[in-house]
Amino acid sequence: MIARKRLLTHAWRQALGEIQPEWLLHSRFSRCISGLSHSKMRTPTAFPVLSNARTVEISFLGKPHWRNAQTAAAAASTANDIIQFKLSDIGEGIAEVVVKEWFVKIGSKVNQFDPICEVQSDKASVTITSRYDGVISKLHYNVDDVAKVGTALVDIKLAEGSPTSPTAKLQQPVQPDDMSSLQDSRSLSDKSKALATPAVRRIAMENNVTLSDVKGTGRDGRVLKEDVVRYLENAQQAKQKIEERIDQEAPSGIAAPSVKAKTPAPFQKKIFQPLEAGKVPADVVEPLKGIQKAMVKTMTAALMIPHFGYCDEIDLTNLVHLRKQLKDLAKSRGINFSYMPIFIKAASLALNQFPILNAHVDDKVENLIYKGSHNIGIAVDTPNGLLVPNIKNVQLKSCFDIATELSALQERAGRNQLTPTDLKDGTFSLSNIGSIGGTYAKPVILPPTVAIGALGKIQVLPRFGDHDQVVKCHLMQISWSADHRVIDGATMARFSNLWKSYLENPSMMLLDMK
Amino acid sequence: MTKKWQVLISKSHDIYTNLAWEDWLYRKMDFSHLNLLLLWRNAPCVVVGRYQNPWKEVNVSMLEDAGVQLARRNSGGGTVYHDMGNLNFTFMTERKLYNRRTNLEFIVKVLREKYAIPAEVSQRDDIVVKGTLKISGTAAKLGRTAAYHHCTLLCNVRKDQLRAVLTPRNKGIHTNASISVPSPTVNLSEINSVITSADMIPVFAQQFSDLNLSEKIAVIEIDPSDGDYPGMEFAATDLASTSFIYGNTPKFNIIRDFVLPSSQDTPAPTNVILDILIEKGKICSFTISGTATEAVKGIATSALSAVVGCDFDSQEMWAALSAGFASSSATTSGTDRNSGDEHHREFVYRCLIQTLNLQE
Repeated sequence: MIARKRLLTHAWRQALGEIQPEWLLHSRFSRCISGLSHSKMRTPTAFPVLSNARTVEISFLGKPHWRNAQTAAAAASTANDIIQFKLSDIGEGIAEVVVKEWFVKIGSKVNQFDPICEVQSDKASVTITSRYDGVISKLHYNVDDVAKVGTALVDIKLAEGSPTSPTAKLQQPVQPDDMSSLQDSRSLSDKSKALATPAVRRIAMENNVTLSDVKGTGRDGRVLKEDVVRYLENAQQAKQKIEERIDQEAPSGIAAPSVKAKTPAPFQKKIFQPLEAGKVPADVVEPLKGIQKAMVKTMTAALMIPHFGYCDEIDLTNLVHLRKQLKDLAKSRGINFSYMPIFIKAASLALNQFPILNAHVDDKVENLIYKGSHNIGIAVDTPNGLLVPNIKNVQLKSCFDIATELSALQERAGRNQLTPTDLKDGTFSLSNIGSIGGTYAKPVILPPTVAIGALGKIQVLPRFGDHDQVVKCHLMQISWSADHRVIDGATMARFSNLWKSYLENPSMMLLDMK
Repeated sequence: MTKKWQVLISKSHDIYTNLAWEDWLYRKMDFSHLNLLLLWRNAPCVVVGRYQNPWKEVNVSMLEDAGVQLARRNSGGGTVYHDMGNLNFTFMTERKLYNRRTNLEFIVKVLREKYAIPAEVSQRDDIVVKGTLKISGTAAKLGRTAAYHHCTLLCNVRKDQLRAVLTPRNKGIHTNASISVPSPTVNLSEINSVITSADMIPVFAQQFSDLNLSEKIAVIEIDPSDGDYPGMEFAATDLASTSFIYGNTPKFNIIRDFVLPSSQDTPAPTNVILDILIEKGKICSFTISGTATEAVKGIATSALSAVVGCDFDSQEMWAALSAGFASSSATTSGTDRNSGDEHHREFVYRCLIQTLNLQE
């Protein structure tokens, strides 16, 4: 008994790809193949018995190719295994149910996941599906009998090669709950049972198509293979259409870009298209949808806020020197170091002193909610348009952590794979419009936050030093917008000055860094 | 991948279309990344549970004249009446997330907060006010990977029609089919007069949307017959067919015991017991017993033989019965015909009519 149990585990592990089939390596391999007609086990540990010879194809190179992983797992099940399939726990503390309908009878062939019967507990009708492949050998209840949870429901004579371990279920991909044609035929009247040849039925079954759903164009309404193929194409289109429509209808707020299974096209830079000589291009009407549409809504809401602006110029010369030192170190850790992480961290440090700038205003402007986390949003330009994902809890993160996360966010954004979590709960925003160009800007606040900063491009410009000499400075403009209903000019100015001082004297950040 | 939540509002008011649409979504969509709330209303109809007996639950004979359709749904539970004053909710998720109570608590919360209705979820997963007045009934269907819970909400239905339709005429039916538990009902509009089912749809859609904290969800109006659901039309036609609605009735017997008045042949009263077996909605077989004379039993036997194989309560059955009556009177020859026999024949036929009509 123990030896057999070991074999079960062994064979099962092989099926999961954990270990190579031993017989591959064994010299007994040839004997194994010839001995396939005797499906009984011989040696417990040497190799699993291939009780289902069909599933092993010996390719030209002599390496066997596992057709069906399940087969190996239950190679230990002999042809005579009968297993009792128990009524498993339905949930909701239900101890017993009434059997209402059998979908199988003694002698019916079932596959794993085929419906076996319908049971009812107070108000719930539950479809019980088979855990095994095999043939029904006994029904333990009649219709209208009360079946207790945990008792045997049916006996199934396992098909050779049927997985006996319940964990074999894991190997099956999760599929939509499209009940096989077995169930659907029971809900159809006899008159509308679809006519189709066994070959067509097989194609339908393999593709999870319910024959009764397919319009048959053959004689007497027979369903032909072409009908099934056409149905599949339509169904695929229909599903995609439904999913697309659902994505498009995503309403106000920052719309999460739809995550499609297909690989998205890489972001193409717009190529300058020369006009054909003498041709006047026609007007093109393009309805606003997706992110653009969402932007219309957000921006309309945002401009209800009275913005006031505050701008300044920041001398980043010291920071530029610092970056030179840190750049190589960062690269050795696998990321590109830019100034943004430092700007973001400095903003967080400054927000510690001016928490009102990290607040949310509620809808009716009755409350100011001082947010505990500094979730600093960074405006990114994605192929779909402008989005502002945020880095959560900047106050707890190091510059390196921020750099890593920023890099990940930008990568996701480029692939249109930002998640709703990325886009939610921002408390403060920065826009690096300067990376494209520009100096001073007038950024628009993202409700319900109260402040936003736009960073201009870093320019090398001449300025006067302490002794009236001309100095080469790396200068960046910063433009802040704040909600004047709750933020006053002085607060914004002081915050900006503090942020500026951190950037102009990076070593100052060391003092306040947590 | 985060779960998508959606509210789908059906533009159709046809019970069969809506049931077929609900079933299509349940069978075809992958709920590992999807949570759905369907909101739908129907033109007057009465819906029985999957394994119920419509004749036991509903006054079937009055439906046609009243313009009320009859449907059988795929989930369990009892019989309900719908009209446009009733709002249906279907919460569809992956099997693991099936939770009736949570869904019902959501509805109760909205009723309390938005409409000041003192509703609560009862032990039996109904929604009640004042402890016993039912405003919602629940049913569910569970499969391997997906499950749905649907329930009604009585906003402003026609209570007179509800009562009439759900007062069955079912004398003599013996069945193991699940029976409905009747409860006194009340319309929400009787408690808060502003309530209409139409107005509640956007409110529930919005509140459901707010339940999902991570993103705003889509609220979409759908016309189920717009071709996006291949195969659904067949399913709807099937749901409307008599073979589905009546043919899925679990087997049942009609058993009646009639006392024959005493006559010349039989000074003491005798009785005849009729036991008719109906399976899949068709009259299958019958037995006749009791102390009545062989002559009387013979009349009953030949009459019932004429209807064996007919769909129960169909025009075909009634036609066969009256044809049987006509032919049996023709076969009795002049000499045998006496007022006693005639009397018996009439009596037997009246009993049969009463039996098959499920009348008192």
